[in-house]
Amino acid sequence: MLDGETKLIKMAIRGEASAFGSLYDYYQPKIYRFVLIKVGRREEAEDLTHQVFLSAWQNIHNYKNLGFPFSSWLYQIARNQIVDFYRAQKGEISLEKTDPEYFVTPASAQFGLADKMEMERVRLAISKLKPEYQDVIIMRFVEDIPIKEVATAMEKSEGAVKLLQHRAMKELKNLLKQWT
Amino acid sequence: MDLIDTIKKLKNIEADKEFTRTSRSLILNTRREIKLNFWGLLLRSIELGVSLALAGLLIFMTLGGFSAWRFLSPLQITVNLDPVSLRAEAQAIDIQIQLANLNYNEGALGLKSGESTPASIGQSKQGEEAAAANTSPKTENSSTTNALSVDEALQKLSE
Repeated sequence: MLDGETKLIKMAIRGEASAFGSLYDYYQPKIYRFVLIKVGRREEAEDLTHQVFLSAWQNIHNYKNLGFPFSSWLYQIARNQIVDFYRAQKGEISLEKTDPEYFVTPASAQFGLADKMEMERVRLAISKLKPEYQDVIIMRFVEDIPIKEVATAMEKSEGAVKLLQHRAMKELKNLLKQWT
Repeated sequence: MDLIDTIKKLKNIEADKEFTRTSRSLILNTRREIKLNFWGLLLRSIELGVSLALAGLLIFMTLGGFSAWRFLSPLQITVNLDPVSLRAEAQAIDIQIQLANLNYNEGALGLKSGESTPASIGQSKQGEEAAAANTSPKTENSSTTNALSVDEALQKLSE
């Protein structure tokens, strides 16, 4: 959680763009990763991330602080944006046909080619899972978000999230085993 | 390689810096509709009214050379700084000083001539009967001298 987040949110609700800018700087990388892992293509991930924050900025007065980080609300918006995106696309994009190098981001340049290929394989496998499984894996293992906050973001109980996490990991392993 | 370790490596994914900069700028420059309830609108209108009133007051005081303090100041300092009243006060002080000098001079003259003042005349008529009895009429006469001397002093001053 960002330091002074509650104060920043109040300022942003009052219309102070600089306060929302601070929130953007902190949460944009997380939301971008979440979206990119799910949709797989950088252009779409950038467009969707932009839409998420634009929507958050225009509707921030609807945000109610329930004691959870602002990220939970942003993840909810991101999930809805991705659902709308897939609804509009109707499976036009074939992820298998894209070049794995295309997904490599500047920050992952530190890894060798084998690591990159493995990461891309896992990312592709995650993107093949059910949306709920994708969400729980990204939030729990990529972003290290506590179960309580994941439950808030996914509008589910903590028990349901634990169960989803277990099933998601099991299915991911099976999928990767099939591909080897 | 452990599956969870590989998943955690996906945390190194970062957005393009140019995209981040452009997107941030576009979002923050977007006009946002701020929905206000009744109290919000009331507060806004009060803020606007107060700011307009203060701006008007500042313009009024600037153009008026702060002369409005005569009416606005709770201490009424400017009344005491009124040049007319100050001049009158200064003149009164001068007169009092001159009267004091006059009394002193008159007393000194009485001591020299002896008959010129009513006190010395009374003293000669009664003779040398009682020294103590002379003191009380002397003070009475001196007070009358003071009362008379104010008018006389003013006449002398006017001359």
